[in-house]
Formats: sequence, C-alpha cells, structure tokens
Amino acid sequence: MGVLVKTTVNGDAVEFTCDEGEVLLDVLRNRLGLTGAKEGCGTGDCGACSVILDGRLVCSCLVLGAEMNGKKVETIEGMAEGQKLHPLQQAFIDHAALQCGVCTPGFLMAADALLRKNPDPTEEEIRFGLAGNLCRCTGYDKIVRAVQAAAKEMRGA
Amino acid sequence: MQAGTIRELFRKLSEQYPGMEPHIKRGVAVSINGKIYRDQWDTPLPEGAEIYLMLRVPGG
Amino acid sequence: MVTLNENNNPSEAAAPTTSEPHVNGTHNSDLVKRDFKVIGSRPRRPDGIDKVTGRARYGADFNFPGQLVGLVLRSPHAHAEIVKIDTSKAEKLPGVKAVITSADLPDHTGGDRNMFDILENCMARKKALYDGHAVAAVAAVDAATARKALKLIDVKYKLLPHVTDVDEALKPGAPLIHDNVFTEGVEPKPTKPSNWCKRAEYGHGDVDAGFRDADVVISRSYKTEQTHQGYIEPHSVSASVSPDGMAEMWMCTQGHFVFRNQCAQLLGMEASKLRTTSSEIGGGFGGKTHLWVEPLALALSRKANRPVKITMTREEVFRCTGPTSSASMDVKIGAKKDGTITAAFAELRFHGGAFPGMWAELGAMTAFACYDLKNVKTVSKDVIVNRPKTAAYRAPSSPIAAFAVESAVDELAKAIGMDPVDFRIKNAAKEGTKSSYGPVYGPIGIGPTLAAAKNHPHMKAPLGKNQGRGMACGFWFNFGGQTCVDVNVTPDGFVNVAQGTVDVGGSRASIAMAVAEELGLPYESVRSNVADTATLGHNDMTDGSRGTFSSSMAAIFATRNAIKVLRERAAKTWEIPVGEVEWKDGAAHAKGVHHGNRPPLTLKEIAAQAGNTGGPVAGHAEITADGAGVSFATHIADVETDPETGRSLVKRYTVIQDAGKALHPSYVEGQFQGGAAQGIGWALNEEYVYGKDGRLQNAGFLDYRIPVCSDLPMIDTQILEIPNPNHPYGVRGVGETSIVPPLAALGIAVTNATGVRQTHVPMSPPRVLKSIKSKAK
Repeated sequence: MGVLVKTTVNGDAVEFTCDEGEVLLDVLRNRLGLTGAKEGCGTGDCGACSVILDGRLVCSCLVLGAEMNGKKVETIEGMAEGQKLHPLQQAFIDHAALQCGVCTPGFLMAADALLRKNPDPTEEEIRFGLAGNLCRCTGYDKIVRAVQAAAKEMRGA
Repeated sequence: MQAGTIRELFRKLSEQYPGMEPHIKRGVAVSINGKIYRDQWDTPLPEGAEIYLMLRVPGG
Repeated sequence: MVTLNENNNPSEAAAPTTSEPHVNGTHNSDLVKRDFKVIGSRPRRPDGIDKVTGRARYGADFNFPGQLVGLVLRSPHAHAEIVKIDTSKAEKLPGVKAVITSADLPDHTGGDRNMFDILENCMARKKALYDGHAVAAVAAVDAATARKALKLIDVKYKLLPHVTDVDEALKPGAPLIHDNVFTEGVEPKPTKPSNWCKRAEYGHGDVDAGFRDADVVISRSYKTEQTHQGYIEPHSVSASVSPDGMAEMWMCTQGHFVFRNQCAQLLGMEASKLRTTSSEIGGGFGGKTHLWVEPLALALSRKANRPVKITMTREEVFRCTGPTSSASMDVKIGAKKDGTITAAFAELRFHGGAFPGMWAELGAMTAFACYDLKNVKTVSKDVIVNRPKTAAYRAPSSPIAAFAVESAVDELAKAIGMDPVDFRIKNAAKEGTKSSYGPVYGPIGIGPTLAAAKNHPHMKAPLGKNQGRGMACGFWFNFGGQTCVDVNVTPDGFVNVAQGTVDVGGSRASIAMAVAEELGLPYESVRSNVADTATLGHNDMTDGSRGTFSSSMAAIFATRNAIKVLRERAAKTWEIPVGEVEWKDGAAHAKGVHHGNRPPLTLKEIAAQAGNTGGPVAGHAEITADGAGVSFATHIADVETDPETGRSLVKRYTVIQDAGKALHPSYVEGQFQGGAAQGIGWALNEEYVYGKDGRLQNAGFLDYRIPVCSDLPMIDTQILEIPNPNHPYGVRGVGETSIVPPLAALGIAVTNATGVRQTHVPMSPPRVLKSIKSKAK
C-alpha cells in the first residue's frame, strides 16, 4: 500500500516506494541511504535536515516523500562536483566553521540557497539567511566568516 | 599524620578514621600545594606540603 | 668511511637501555618554551571532508543488519507509584520481539548508590520520579509496530504529590521523593528522610568579623533556571547481544569506554565482551556523559536476540536527559572603601533532579574561586525534585554560582565608587592565594585575563542609547584522568594514531599535530582515529576539558616511545650504538665524530626496513593525566535592551581566556565562542518551564529557543598563553570555562542598560520588562 514516487535526487532519476505519511527525511535516510541530512528535531525547528527542493530550501522532515513526484531534490551528497568540493564546503573546512559537524550539511544547504538568491549578502543578511539552522558548538562566528569567504570567491572577487 | 604518597595518606586515613573509607572509595581528589590530583595515587606528598581532600568533581 | 665503535656490540646497542625508561607520565617541562613547527598552526581537520559532504556517520547513521526499532514508554506523571505494568497485549502484537520493564534489569550494582541511581534513572522501578521517566521499552520490526506496542502497555499509576521547585522541595511537608535519603553533612545525622540530600561548607577565616570590618555590605538573592545542553544530535544507540554473551554497541557518547564499563555492570556482562564504538558525536557538552537509553537497547537486544536501535526524539531529549540544576542563591559581600573585600558569603541551593547530586556543592566550591579573600564561607544545599536527573553541562554549576557572585561584586564595586575591572583586579586571586575551596593557588591566569580586559578596546568603545556593558570572570577546575594512545608507523612511512577520547571539537587534528611535532613530520603525515573499546585500553570520557589536554599528553609520550624504537632500528641498520643516534626532523641522525657524515635515515626508510630490524614500529603510552591546572576567563558583553519589550540583543562580545598553549588556535577560539554562545542563550532566553502538573511545557526547539545566527554578533576572542607546567607543551583544558562568565556579564550589562539590577536568569523579555516596571512604581 506504499506510494510509488519518481523523482530526481542530486541529478539522478530515482524511484522509491514510501508510506503515505512518510517524510522526505526518512525516505532519504532509510530508503535511499542518503544520511547526510540529519534529524535534530523532526519539527522543522533546527534545520539539520535542510535540502533544496525545486530550488527552495526546505526542512525535509516537514515535507512528504509521496509529494516528490517529478520534483528535483538536492542534498548535501550532491553538493561537491566529483572530487571538487563546492566553495562553501571548502570554506567551512578552511575557516574551522564546524566542530561536531552534525548541523553542517544543513548549514551548507541553507548557505547555498542563500547565495543563489543573493551572491553578495551583508553579514546581517547571512545571519538572517541562516537563522533557521541551529548550531550549538560554534557560536556561528566562524560559520558566518566561511559563508562570507565563499561568497567572495564565488563572485570571483 | 605522616604520609609519603596519596596511597599512604588514604590508607592511614581509612585506618584512623574508618568513616572516611566509603568517601575515599566513592572517589575523592587530593590537592597537593594547589595542584589537584584525582587518580595518581603514587604521587609523592612533599615535606610540609599543603594537602586538601576535595570532592571529585564531574565535568561537561 | 666511518668505523664502528668496537666497544659496543651492535646487538647490545639495539636492546632497550635502562638509562631511557619507558616514558610514562613524566615530561620535560622546559620543552614548553621550545619553538614549535606544527603546534600553533591551523591545519585542516581530518574529519572535515566527511562532515561537509554528509559522509560522516553519527549515532543514528549506523544500522545493524536485521535490527529492530526500540522505543521507550515514559511516565506522563511527575511523581507516581507504579502499581502494575501489564505488557501482555504488547507482547502479543505481531512484529513485537521484546518488551522490557525494570524486572528485566535486575540490580547488579552491589550497593553502589551512584550506579543504582543510573539504573533507576534508565528505567523506573517502584516509582516514576519525573515527567518522562522511562517505565518500559519495546523492540519491534518497525517504528509503526513499536509505537502501537507502546500504546498496548498498560501501566497502572498511583499519583503522588510532586515538587519541581528547589526552594519548595526544601520546605517541611514537601512531597518526599526518596524515603532513603537522609541529609549528609549535618550533625546530628537526621532521623527522617528528606529532599535535602547534602549540605557542604567551604571557606576560611571569620566572615562575621570580616563583615564588621566592611564599610559597605551588599546582600541579595539570585535565581537561575534549568537549561539543557541542547546538542543538535539526539541520542542514538544500536546494540547487538549474541546468545554467547558477546555484544557490540555503536552510539554517540562522550566516553565509549565508560559507557561500556557502566553498561556491562548494569547488565551483568563482562566488559571485555562488549565492544563499543563511538560514532561521530553531534554535540554533548556534558549531556552525553550519562547513560540514558543505552542499557535499554542492550536489554532489549538480549531479550529479542536481535540487534536493536534506539534513537531518541527531540522531545525525549528535553524531557528525559541531562538538564542543569535550577538554583536559588543568597550572596553577601563586604568591602572597605579602598576596594578591599573583607568578607564574602553565599548559600547555594541547587537541585539534582530526581536523584541526589553534588551540584550545589560544586557551586559552593567555584563561587568565589576568582578572588583572594581573607574571610569567605559558602554553604551548599543539594536538593531532590521531580525533574529529570541533572547532568553535567560544561563547567557544571560554575556559571550559576558566577552569575550570583559576579553580579554582587559588580554591585559592590559601584557602591564604593570603584571601576568594576579595577575592583576585580584589586581582589583577584594570584599565586599563593588560599582559594575559597581550600587549596593555595600556584601560578594562575585570572590576573592576566583582567589586565587584558582592562586594556581591550572593547572596554573603551562608546555605548548607544539603551545599551549597557558588563564584564565578569569565570573559573573552572579542569581535570585529566586515565588516557592511552597508540602510535603506529605504517609500512609506507606514515603514522596512525589511535586515541581513546571522543573527538568533540577537533581533537583528532590537535593530537595528530602533537605527534607530527614530536616526530618532526608534516601534519599531513599523521592521522588520528578514535579507537573502539576492543582495540585500545580504557580511557576516561571527553569531559572536564580533558580530551585534548590528556590525549595530546599521552600522544606525545607514545610518540617519544616510538622515537626510541625508531632510533634503535636506525642503530641496528647502521650497526652503531643507539646512544649515538638522535632523532630530529623526521629522521634518525648518527651523531658524534665516528658517524656524523652518514646520511640520515628517514622515517620512511626505517619503516620500509622494519620487518628486518625487529618488526612493526609503534609507541604506546598509558597515563593518568593529573595536574590539569585550573582555568580562568574574563568576558566583556554589550547589550541593547528595548525598554518597551524587555528584549535584549547582544551587540558586542569579547572572550579572554588562558589556553596554556593553543595547539590549534582555531579550535581554541571555537571553544571560546561556542561556550560564550551557550552562556548567552542561558542568560537571555533558555529555560525549562514546568506546569503546575509537574510536566515540562516546552520540550522542543521552538519553545526552548537556543540562540540562532541572527541573535548573535561576531564573538571576539583573545587567547592568552600561560604555559601549564604539567603538560609537555604547556596545554591547559579550554572547553568549559568559556560558559562560566556570560550569565553574569550579560546580567550586569542588562542591569546597566536598564538601570535595574538583574537577579533572575534567563533575562527573557517578560522578566526584564517586569523588573523595569517594578522599578518605575
């Protein structure tokens, strides 16, 4: 009695069957083996499960897997291009913008979504752009600096 | 009381004050001249050293 | 052509010499002043790529083949007798493979009260002691079946009156939570049980006389509310127990060796048969130093004879795991007009949740630790309430006590018309000061942090409308503990390190740096991994700011032992005495007139020949890393408080702390910033809210709001390096102290912004608004 869903994940055509009430996060983690998105709360408050759905940042714990038919899902696993890290990924490593790292995939998704819309954000715009993601280790200082550095690099500045 | 190491101190304390033994078994720390030792019972106690028995504190 | 020294038989030369004992727990402290090549640089962390690509595996990212889903049934009542639990319907549900209650967890603790408390906290026995206390657990083929099974368990409760407030719990006639707790530390020994589990007293001198000598005495009461460590990763454990008693566990923990030992004891297993792997850990801050569901997963797996995975929900994390105490404190301090403190007193009442704790006592020890006081006395009262068992949270209790004491110090400085920084400098503890908790201090770092604060540009920056500045000091003990490290040279000439302390903030990088430094190799040649409990000796947890301090110490000693082996191998290869071989810059060098012109033998060359010179090259160290050295910090905070709403925003924040020696400065800064941010959350917003029914009202991140990115400014850091003589590189633990000053620094800042002394943390908008309005009346 599952729902058959045909969708695109990180550019690959994917087919899965899921329960009607099953959230995208559980589909990614339990059915597709993509455990980069984390469940920090299951209520859309922490952003650790952030993915980009048809170009829009969402908490994958708040959308249903059954609704993914014909959509495009981007997760942390698709962010690097082969061996080459995305400038945001590289900046997070270079600027020590992670400690435990469990929030990092969500932050990278959120930062990516922000920079696509606004390639040259102010510090305040970065802070509000990332306000849906919780980090308990860093105090956000190094995360903001990493996003600033990546944005600059991506602009070719 | 004369003791050359933490171990000797604990042994003598337990002998002279049997009430201390459960506390020592439960875990105490020893401050020797301001430095706190928790585990190294062969740590020497220097002549005239200031010795304090302390709560073995937990940490985050 | 170099001739062999014929007085030395090469085979003798290669044998271990008595003049160079196995390095274990000793060091050469003059190395502290050496020029470092790797230490102090900022290389990339070895776990970086895995963490930015989603490959890193945390607690919930692991699965055993054929595993079951474990779920826990929790008491909805704050205090209730468990009259009967009927699990028969749940057991009959198809797909349910095991149901357990406390009957499946017999007492193996042998009279050890602490272990029994852990056992009873993991699964309620006769009574449910708080909202969320586990009463039963199930393992089923999937989550839906497990959820159904929980609903089929019939628990008959007899409700009992409850108490969740620390002061109420002390009152005569308060609901009694344990009938076997008699106040420790009072004479005569009480004959009746109570919720007051322990009294302790610290201090010296004569405080009454000291107060009589004072020109000004400040006296006030303070409160702080209960907070949670708020790590982003909920607890998750996967356990697999075989019928022959062999077992495996994968979990997120701050100490997999300690968890193994405790789980083995609670389950009546042999520790050697329980192999435990720590996953990447998604934050802990003390909350992952305690067992919660791990023994339940083992018990379920044992009963079902299948692997079982339990992953907590966020709501469970809030309702059932490690919050701090909430506290109520009275502080009195007196000073002369010249700024000399003549006496200081505090009574601290903290709760340990539903079990006896020593949290108030920790507050009593740390409260006045920053100051040089002739007359000081602190009294602690540890109290039991119907809330979850208190767990350590980063420098446990110290931030609470510092809030009260530093606020009082600020008020007193103002009352005698002295600058609060100068007042603290005048009274700061220094080498030779008798600390308020007993011992006399050696060289300590409070003075330098205060001097740095006084000279910091932040202290002189102008403030805007409705803005206020506060500064405060903080103290934490730090400790070391049991630690071991293996250093293995690989046949291709690189180095693998096995550390036993869980990496919570970059310690794998820091420890690899220390090993590279000792060997004279580039950082990239060394990789450190966290070993599981079957492959390395016991290690204490990553707590007490000990992870990098103690594992880097063990790693340095282990590397020195490996270097000794490397020198022996070079001596064998060269057929010269080992005494004529020295190690520098990643290679063995023959020294002395006879051999000086030999080309050095690199680590790579020695590794390649290892099979012909005696086998694999390795070094080990097993140490008790005592002598961690106490830690101090000074913070400066600017806030803007909206007088209409009472909302406070942090505008600028500076952390100044002594790191001894910063192995990897970025990670030291990260600890400073992270601790400050947690303290800011505690100061301004975070609190457990209990209803009259004794139930937690805000068990989620929406209503228990931790600081988000837009709540905070950049957090400036200043690392002071006053070498710790007890570590070969001078390292001091840095993880915890940074959470100590923020509550007070912000309390003082909001006081200065509003003109009303803030005495109750968190200073949430309604609370601050109320304080402003009460003053206006």
